[in-house]
Amino acid sequence: MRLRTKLGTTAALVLAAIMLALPARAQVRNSAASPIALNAVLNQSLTVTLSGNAVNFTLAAGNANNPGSTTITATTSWTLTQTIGTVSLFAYFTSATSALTDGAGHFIPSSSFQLSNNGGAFNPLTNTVPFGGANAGLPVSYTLILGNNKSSRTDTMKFNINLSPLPTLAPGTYTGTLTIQAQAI
Amino acid sequence: MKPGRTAVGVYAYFASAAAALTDGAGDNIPSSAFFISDNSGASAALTNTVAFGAANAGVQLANVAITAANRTSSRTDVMAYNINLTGGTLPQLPAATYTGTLNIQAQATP
Repeated sequence: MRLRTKLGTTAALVLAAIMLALPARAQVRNSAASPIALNAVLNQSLTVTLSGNAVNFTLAAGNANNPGSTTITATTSWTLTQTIGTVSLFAYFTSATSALTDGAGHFIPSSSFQLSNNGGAFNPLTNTVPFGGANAGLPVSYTLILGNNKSSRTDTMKFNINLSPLPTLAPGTYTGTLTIQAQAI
Repeated sequence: MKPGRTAVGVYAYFASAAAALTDGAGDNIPSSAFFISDNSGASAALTNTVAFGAANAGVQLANVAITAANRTSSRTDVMAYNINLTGGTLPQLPAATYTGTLNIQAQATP
């Protein structure tokens, strides 16, 4: 009887020891969390890429229709902040009076240079835009961002030189530089 | 480690799957766009539910089996990071500075 009691007591102690040991072994142990600060900058960008950079014209004196030899497509791409509302594309000369010149004192003004964008009407470069000379530019396109903070658009431009206001223009080779530039505001 | 421990896991995680990094103006980079390559291994997005952090916002970097031979030991994990902005609406993510906190934590089991 005493032996059975001793055995029972021993068994109970062993069981208790196992019971106490099990929870300790079942617990996971975690390290402290080590933070890494992440800083990712998505920079703003606004670019214009042209399909070509030369257009030729065969001029007929006094003729209103002297189309350019090719169209130029401008691809405007942007990645902008949320505070930007619009992207505008402009075409301009640095001078309204001498958009093209023969180098001998004869000029074709920007008012005789016309641009048609994406099949629209031809318009002369007679506006004052953010770039170029006064009265020497034209807004080509205007895009509301509306959440498209990263996007692009294409504008296909046709050109014409209207010589009807210049019937006495001297024969010559007239050269000039038309600049295409975008602005996000 | 005390006898009985069988493994040590190392985890990386964010507190949110949807907004791992944010510009503070409502634009977020989710944890699914954040990738870790551990010890030059394949890159893995933080899309798993791990022992720490938010659901679907973590990845297990390592799992080390513990034996009598390595109860006192250590390991090194060299992590390389990448943010993939090609998925979903992320290509339209506005230009901004995005910040967030990645946590690294280890756990010994059981």
